[in-house]
Amino acid sequence: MKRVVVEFDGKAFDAVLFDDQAPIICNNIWNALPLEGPATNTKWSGDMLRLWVQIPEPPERENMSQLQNPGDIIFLHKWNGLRFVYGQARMQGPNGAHPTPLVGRMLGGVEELAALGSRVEWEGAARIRVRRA
Amino acid sequence: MKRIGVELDGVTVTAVLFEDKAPVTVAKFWECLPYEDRVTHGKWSGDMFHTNTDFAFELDVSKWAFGMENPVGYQAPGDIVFLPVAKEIAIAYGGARFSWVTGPMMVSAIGRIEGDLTEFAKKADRLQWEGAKRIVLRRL
Repeated sequence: MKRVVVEFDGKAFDAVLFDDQAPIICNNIWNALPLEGPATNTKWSGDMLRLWVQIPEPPERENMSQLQNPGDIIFLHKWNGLRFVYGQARMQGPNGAHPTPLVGRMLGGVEELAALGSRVEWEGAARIRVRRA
Repeated sequence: MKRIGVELDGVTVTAVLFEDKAPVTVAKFWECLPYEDRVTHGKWSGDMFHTNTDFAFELDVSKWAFGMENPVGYQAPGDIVFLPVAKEIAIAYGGARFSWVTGPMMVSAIGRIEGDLTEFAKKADRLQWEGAKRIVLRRL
C-alpha cells in the first residue's frame, strides 16, 4: 500500500492508499499528489469532509463500499475530490446511499479530523493537503 | 395570518406561519420571537440549515401522530420545519429532505417563505463554505 500524509491545522497524519484494491483510482490520486484545497462538510453524508480537488477521472469503479467508517478516505466518480470520514457518516445524496470506492484510510488523526469537521461547520472551509510520504 | 421576517446575514425574506395546520406549535414559536441565533448548514439534509439555540418551549406531543403537529416527510425550498425533540427549526433553500444519522425524519411544518428565494438561497448556500451566520426571526 502506498503511504501518504494528510496535513491540516499545522499537523500531519499518516494514511495509506489501497492501491492493491483500487489500483487505477489510487494510481490517479498518487500521480496527482500533492493535492491541496479547501475542505467543507458534505451536505448529505454526515460526518465527512470533502476536499475540493480535481483528480483525473478514473474509468472504472473499484473497491466499492456501501458503508463508511471513521478514517476512511473515499473517492466519488463524477463529483470527484476526496472525502474523509470522521464520525457517523454514509456517502449519500437525495436519492439515497451511493456505493463508492474506498481508496484509503487514515492511520491516525481521526479525532483531529473530527475537530476540524466541527470547526469547519462553524467557521467555514479549511485547507487540507495530501502528499506522498 | 401570522407572518415573520427571516433575516439571514443581511438578507430578509417574509414567511407565513401555518396557524391552521400547527396552531399549538406556531403559537409557542410566536411567543419566542424575536429570536436571534447563529445558524449552521446541515450535514445530512441537503440544501437546508438549522438553528442551534433551543426554542425554549414545551409541547405535549403525546396527542399527535409522529409526536408533532402537521408532520411532513418532504420539504420544498422555503419550507420552515420544527423538530420537537431537538427544539430547533430548519429551513430548506433548495433540494432538501430533513434527515439525521439513520435517514429521513418526520418534522413539523410550521411555515413557508413567500416570494423570491434567490438571494436568501445564495446566502444560505454560503454557510457550507463560510460557517455560521446570524439569523433573526421577527414578528411582522
